[in-house]
Amino acid sequence: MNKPKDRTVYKGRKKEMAREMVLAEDLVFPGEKVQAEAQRGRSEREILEAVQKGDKEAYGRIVKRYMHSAYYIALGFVQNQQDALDVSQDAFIKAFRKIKMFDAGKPFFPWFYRVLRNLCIDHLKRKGRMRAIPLENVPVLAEEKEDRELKETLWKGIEKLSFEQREIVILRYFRQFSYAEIAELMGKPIGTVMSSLFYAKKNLKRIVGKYLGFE
Amino acid sequence: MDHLKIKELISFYHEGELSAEEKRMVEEHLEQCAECRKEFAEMSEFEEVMEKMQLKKPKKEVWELYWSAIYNRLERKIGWILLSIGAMILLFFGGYKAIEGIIQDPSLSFLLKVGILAVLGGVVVLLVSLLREQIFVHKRERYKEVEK
Repeated sequence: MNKPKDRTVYKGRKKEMAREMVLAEDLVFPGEKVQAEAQRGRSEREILEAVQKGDKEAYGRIVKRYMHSAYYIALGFVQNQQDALDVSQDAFIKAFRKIKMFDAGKPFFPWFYRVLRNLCIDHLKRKGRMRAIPLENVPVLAEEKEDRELKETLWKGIEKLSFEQREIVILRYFRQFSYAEIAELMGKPIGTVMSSLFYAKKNLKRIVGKYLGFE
Repeated sequence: MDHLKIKELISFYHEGELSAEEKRMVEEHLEQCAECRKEFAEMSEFEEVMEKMQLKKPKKEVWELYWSAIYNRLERKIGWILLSIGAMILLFFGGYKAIEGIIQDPSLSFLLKVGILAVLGGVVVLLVSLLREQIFVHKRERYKEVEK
């Protein structure tokens, strides 16, 4: 047989995420332009130390850096654009109010992720829809005509996964975190993450098998 | 190496996270195992579908206004705190003066004074009770420890 392609998948999506970062860096208000330029060279630790002293403008840099990830992760959980926007913004506000508890020597996102995740869980409990939503109503996916039914079925399958498996699929496939990063975000051993992802993929592959002609 | 182990490695092959040794093991196994070749082909198709799945993008303005919405809410919080403190001071001062006036007013009958003071006392008890309930709920809030 031909040697399998040695490829790292999701290159396109990684480029898109890189563009998001560039866009986020440029998202400053006119009056902030000079200050933003000065802050561009600051490390995340320096920015976070400034935030802990109450510097809201510095926090703006942090928010703009992580807002895309926060929004899309929340969307994966709460399945509604407006709710995802509200929950992700609430998470940034809550994180700011608790920022003094944060160890600025550590990366911000894993700490923030736990705030975001808990707010998503609270939101889902409030709405009483931890489980699947009807197939005909999948407002989470981009409106593309290609393979629409297949993608909706696949998303429905993602919905049916356990909460932990769904979380790993969202982080891995829709935000391209590495296994090590997912393990850090979830506070679980990397082996557990890989094992959960393996079984999640096995379930999903079975669900879409009939569309793709798998026996 | 058993199929289950190879199938697990196949599952991760496309994600670019296998070591060079693990990749070589998979590739060598695929040369001689039709079942795993089929698994590999199916997994490739599956990964392609997953790759094409996109979450709905919000409008560009959402990103432009994202931080300003947070900033405004952070600013307003300070305003609400100051407003609440001021309102409480005025309320307590007004209440104190009102009670003092009622007690010292010789034109009001004793029974009326008792009635008014009972109503005010009831309001205070209810407010304290509500406040205590809120503190009780807050102390038992789920996941609070995780955020720390």
